[in-house]
Amino acid sequence: MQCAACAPAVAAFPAIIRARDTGPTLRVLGTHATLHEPIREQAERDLGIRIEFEPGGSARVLLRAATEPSSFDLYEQWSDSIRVLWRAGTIQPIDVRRLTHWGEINSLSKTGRITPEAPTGAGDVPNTILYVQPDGSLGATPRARISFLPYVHNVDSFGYDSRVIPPGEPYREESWGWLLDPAYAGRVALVNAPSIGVFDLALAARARGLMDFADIGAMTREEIDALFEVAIAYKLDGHFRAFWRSVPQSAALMRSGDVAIESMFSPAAAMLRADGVPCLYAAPKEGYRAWHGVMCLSRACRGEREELAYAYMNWWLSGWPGAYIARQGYYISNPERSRPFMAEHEWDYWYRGLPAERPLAGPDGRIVARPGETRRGGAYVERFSHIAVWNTIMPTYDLSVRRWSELVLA
Amino acid sequence: MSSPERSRIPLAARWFPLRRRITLTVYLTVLLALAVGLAATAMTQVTRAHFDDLMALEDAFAAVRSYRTGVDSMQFDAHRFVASNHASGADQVTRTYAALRQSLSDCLERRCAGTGSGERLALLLEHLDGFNDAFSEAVEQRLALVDAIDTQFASALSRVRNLLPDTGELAPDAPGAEAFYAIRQHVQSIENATGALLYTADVLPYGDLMAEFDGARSALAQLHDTAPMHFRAELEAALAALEDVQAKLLQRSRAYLFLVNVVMAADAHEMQVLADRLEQQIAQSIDQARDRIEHTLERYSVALILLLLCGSLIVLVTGRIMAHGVTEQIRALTRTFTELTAGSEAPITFRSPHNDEIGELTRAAIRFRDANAEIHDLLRRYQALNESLESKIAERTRALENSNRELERLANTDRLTGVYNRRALSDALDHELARCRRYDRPCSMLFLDVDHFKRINDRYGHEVGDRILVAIAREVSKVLRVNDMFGRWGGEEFLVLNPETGGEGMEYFAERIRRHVAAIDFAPVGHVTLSIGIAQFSCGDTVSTLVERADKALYRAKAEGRNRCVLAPAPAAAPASRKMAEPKNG
Repeated sequence: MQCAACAPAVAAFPAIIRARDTGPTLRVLGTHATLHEPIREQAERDLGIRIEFEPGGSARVLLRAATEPSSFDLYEQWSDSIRVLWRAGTIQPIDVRRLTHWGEINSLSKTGRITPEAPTGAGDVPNTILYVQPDGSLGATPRARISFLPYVHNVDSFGYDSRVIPPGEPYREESWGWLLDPAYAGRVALVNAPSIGVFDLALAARARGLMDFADIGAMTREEIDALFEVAIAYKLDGHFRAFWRSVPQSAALMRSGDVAIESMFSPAAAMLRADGVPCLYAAPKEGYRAWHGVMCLSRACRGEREELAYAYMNWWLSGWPGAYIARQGYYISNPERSRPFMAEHEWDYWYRGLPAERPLAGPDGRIVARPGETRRGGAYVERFSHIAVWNTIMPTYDLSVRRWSELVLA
Repeated sequence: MSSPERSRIPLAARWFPLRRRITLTVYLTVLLALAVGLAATAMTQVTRAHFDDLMALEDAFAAVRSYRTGVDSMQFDAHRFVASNHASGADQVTRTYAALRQSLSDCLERRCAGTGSGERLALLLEHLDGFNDAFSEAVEQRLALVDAIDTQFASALSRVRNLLPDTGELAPDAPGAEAFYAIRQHVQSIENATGALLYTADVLPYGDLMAEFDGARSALAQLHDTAPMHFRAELEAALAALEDVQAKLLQRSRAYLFLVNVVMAADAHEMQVLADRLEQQIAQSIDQARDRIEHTLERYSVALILLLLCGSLIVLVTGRIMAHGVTEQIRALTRTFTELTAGSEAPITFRSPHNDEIGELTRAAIRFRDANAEIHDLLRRYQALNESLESKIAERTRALENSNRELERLANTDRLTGVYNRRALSDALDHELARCRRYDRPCSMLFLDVDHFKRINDRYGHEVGDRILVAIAREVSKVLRVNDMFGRWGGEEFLVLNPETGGEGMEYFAERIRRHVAAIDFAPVGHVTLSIGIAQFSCGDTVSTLVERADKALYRAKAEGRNRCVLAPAPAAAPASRKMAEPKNG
């Protein structure tokens, strides 16, 4: 499947060498979620350019992106960083006319709904921060200039060890409320990121009826304070074992048996299952916490670099990368383009929610799904029809950051 | 040697010579003492090893506790720096970190907290590094923030301020004064909010700051008819620059606060949890180690006691067997020698299979017994000799007595008839008469004479005569009573002495004899008669007087016609004799 993409590159072999020797290097700043070495190598091969990946922690790369636009060309992160970056003015609008596959990008990114009937979910729905309005602000009204390239996205929930917690029925029994179930006290972990963790906590508190929110995607200061009072009370009772900062750490926590339930990213659940830990990645009845990857163009990126950046963005939507990240459970905004790059049974499992016909390997070659296994939550459309909230930097974000340490160190 | 004899040899004696038996017992005792000593030493060693483990765990416990304290103090110092900008706090964090890292690495390398704790220690180290990295970055960002405030923000701020007229020069009712006041106030709020970034660790909500800038800009708009165009443009540009700087400051402070409140906090929390778990784990290990020591000691004590008991038993039994072997042999030897002293020549059943002292004594006993046997043999031969001599003497004596008795019999017996002779009758008469006299007992005497014997001799010859005499003696003997003494006095005369007989009885008896003889047919002679003179002893009688009186009575009988009995009269009264029977021809 790689060869389909490499065919033109091989034909242009001498040109690639020249380009490598003389052309500029594309600098991509981002996180470990998408800055994978195989992707970089494939892109270099396919595009005949030199690419440099600079993966780092979310906060650090965001600070870099928000303060040093000249230190990168492209920035890959989550949609919740868009408002910050846009306000900081370190990124420039992307012209959709230069995006080869713009027309293929699905309605989720463009309208916020995977189907016309699907709910949008609370918080910053991608389309509301996508289009650059004439006054320079970001809005939902479709425009020719956009703040980010919509590409990778997924829904997050929590993972649980089915040896400890009896499996619940997806969308009917599985609930965010389990995270605050005193029965699991001392064996619960949260992601150590206030912008995400605060939603996990809020969804859990609401599911257990501990409190409610006027708009869970835009919590007020009072709601934040109240939520933290609840969470801190839990913490004081020894409810939370850990606040993890990386996917491997979250997997290690459950593998060691310290943790039975935790907020989780899907690659961690895949890692655990590959290790033989029966970790179920829940499909909560309250809906998922969705996230959307963003690829932003640095304000400082001009000329030849800008060309390379657009080439790279177009490459990302050209099929191979979408198939690659599908194997770690992520979706791409134009899935049909990636379909030829996947085996039929892979497509059926990852996108259609059908049982795996044969063992499925993840990006690292380890088996993440065994024959007969189905993806929890079902098909792509079904999962994105259950969105509770989108990851969002709320106006009360700074308050939640300050209170976060109170929670962690309580 | 037969098997019962063999079984009498004590087992120990069968196996070992005397000296070795004693040595063996001593060896066993020494061996037991050695075994007990060794066991006690082993017990000490093992206990010490366990105890060393325990001490190592106690050290590890103290170390982990010190990590916890170190983590807490790092966190406290970091907080001092963050909240109060105490530079000493940052230095202290660096120092504590260096010390903790060193100690943790050492501990990890030495496996100080025991197996199974390595993973947690490594994680602890990882989070310690994470915390320190985050803190170092936070310090750096704070310095950069301070620097940005002191330089970029200060210059942008002074640029705005310099454009504004001095409040002292501005009359309150001057045109645009209100707008200038408002701008100055907004700028002041912005300055305050920015300064607070450093000390309160709080960020003025972004919207509030935007409102300040918007307020300043709208106040600026009010100046459009009072201030010159270029002045307004300049002030607006200065405000925009300030806003730009402020936006950057905000990003920096956010990143800084994220490091402090999120990254550092999570690492600190994880370190606390890990240290807690480690502490629990080591405490558990310590408990287990204590239990192990207790159990080991218990097991060893029991084993030692058992060893002592069993060992003592073995030594005791062996000692007893060996001692029994010795005493039994000595006792047997004593018995043997006592018997030998008493002269026993029984074979020596006692044996010693070894060439030891007992063996020597055994051989001495055998020599003793051989000597005894020799002496006994001599004695026996002497006795045999003695006995043969004695029997010969007795035989001779017996022969002599027989000869004497025969001589005496021959002396008292009539050759022809076999009855007493005259000599024997005379002795008997002497003896009997003496007795009758002494005890005044009655006694009588019959004097018998064969009638007409001369005619028999003459007619039939002496041989027939002798045969007749023998036959008469035989017939008379048939009638005699037990105590009667009968003999031949001489020729055809016989004499019967009747002790304890007197008077009538005497006469009756004589008559019986006469009739008995008279009734017999002596061939070839025919009937032969006897004439009998009877004399009864009286006190004055001697043998001769008594015989004389009997002879006189015989004479009378002859005289009265033969074949009759005549009683001699008593000597004093001399009563007339009486006819005893009808006279018959003879």
